[in-house]
Amino acid sequence: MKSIALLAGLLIVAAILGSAAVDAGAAASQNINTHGATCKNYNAAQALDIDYLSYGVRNVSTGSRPVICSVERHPVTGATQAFYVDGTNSAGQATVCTLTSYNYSGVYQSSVSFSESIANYDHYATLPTIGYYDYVSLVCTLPPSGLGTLRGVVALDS
Amino acid sequence: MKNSRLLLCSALAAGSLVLVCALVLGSRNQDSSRPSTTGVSVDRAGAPAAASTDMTRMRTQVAVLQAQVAGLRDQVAAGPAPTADQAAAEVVVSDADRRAEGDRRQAAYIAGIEAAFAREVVDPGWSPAISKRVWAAIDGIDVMRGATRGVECRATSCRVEVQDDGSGALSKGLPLFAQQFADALPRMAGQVVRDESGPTGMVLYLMGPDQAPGPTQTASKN
Repeated sequence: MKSIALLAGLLIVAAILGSAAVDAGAAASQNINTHGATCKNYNAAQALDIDYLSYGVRNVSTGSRPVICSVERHPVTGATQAFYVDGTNSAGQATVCTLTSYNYSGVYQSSVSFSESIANYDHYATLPTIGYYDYVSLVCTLPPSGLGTLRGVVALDS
Repeated sequence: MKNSRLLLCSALAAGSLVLVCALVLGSRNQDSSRPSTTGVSVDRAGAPAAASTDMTRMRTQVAVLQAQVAGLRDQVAAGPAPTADQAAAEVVVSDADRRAEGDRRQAAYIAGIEAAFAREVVDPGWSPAISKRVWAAIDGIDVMRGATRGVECRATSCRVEVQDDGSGALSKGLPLFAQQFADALPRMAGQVVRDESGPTGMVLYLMGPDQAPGPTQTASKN
């Protein structure tokens, strides 16, 4: 009985250590989703033009308006990093976005832009160059009158 | 290093706790597997004596285990552990290396773009039209209109020189400027221009779409 209890104890310790290692590995390889409702008006005077939803952010003014989103990311070691930007457009509308990276001292590094006019987009974009400690933002110009919604952005691990 | 030691100590502490619990539970199971003395004819004189012996043996085992765990803990503590200053220095060196590596990588990337741009021969069917479009975009953004010093488009990319007064206005205008070329020149990279007084401006390169494989070959959300 004693040996069984001892063996059980050792197995539990091994399981604890093993699961800790697995968790560490999983954390290092997970993408990060940022919800569109965390985005803000890009220009100070347009705060009231931006409306927030449980599924994203939209522009309720009669003209196009830009919003800026913080893009959370792991400090990945690759030379580039890819992202998915998700949203919707009503018929005839388009959303134009730019992902931009700045380094830890505020120096511009690179950006990538795209325009989407399809109803449900899931756009894949890669920054040309990015550093381990860089910060990334997403600026999207949203169509007027709530005719487009930015759902969010996903930073992929690389 | 510090983290791994903490992990090891935690594991030892957790292990000792688990072992003690397992032994206690095991002994309880042993006790409960025995027939109850209530209402059962047993050797009443012998049963308490056996339980007392088991308890004594168990206490001895727990004490031995505790001593072993304490010994292991001492071994870990006596190892060549770095001082707090040394551990902090390791982290700083690692951060500095990463930052330096990032700076080198960015410089090499920009140097490659510059070299590629220098090799491009002006395409008369593309350059004038795209130059006109770039200037039109610049004129549409106040901060860019005042800051731009030159635009040169060759065969597939454009080089734009801009002044930066350090107010943040240029950075504010860059994403909206880049959006004007989302279809034809979606990628942009920049390099700071400096003189003796510090940063004075930027050289921006507007480039065509990335030729790398699409998302189905390179990455997944899942």
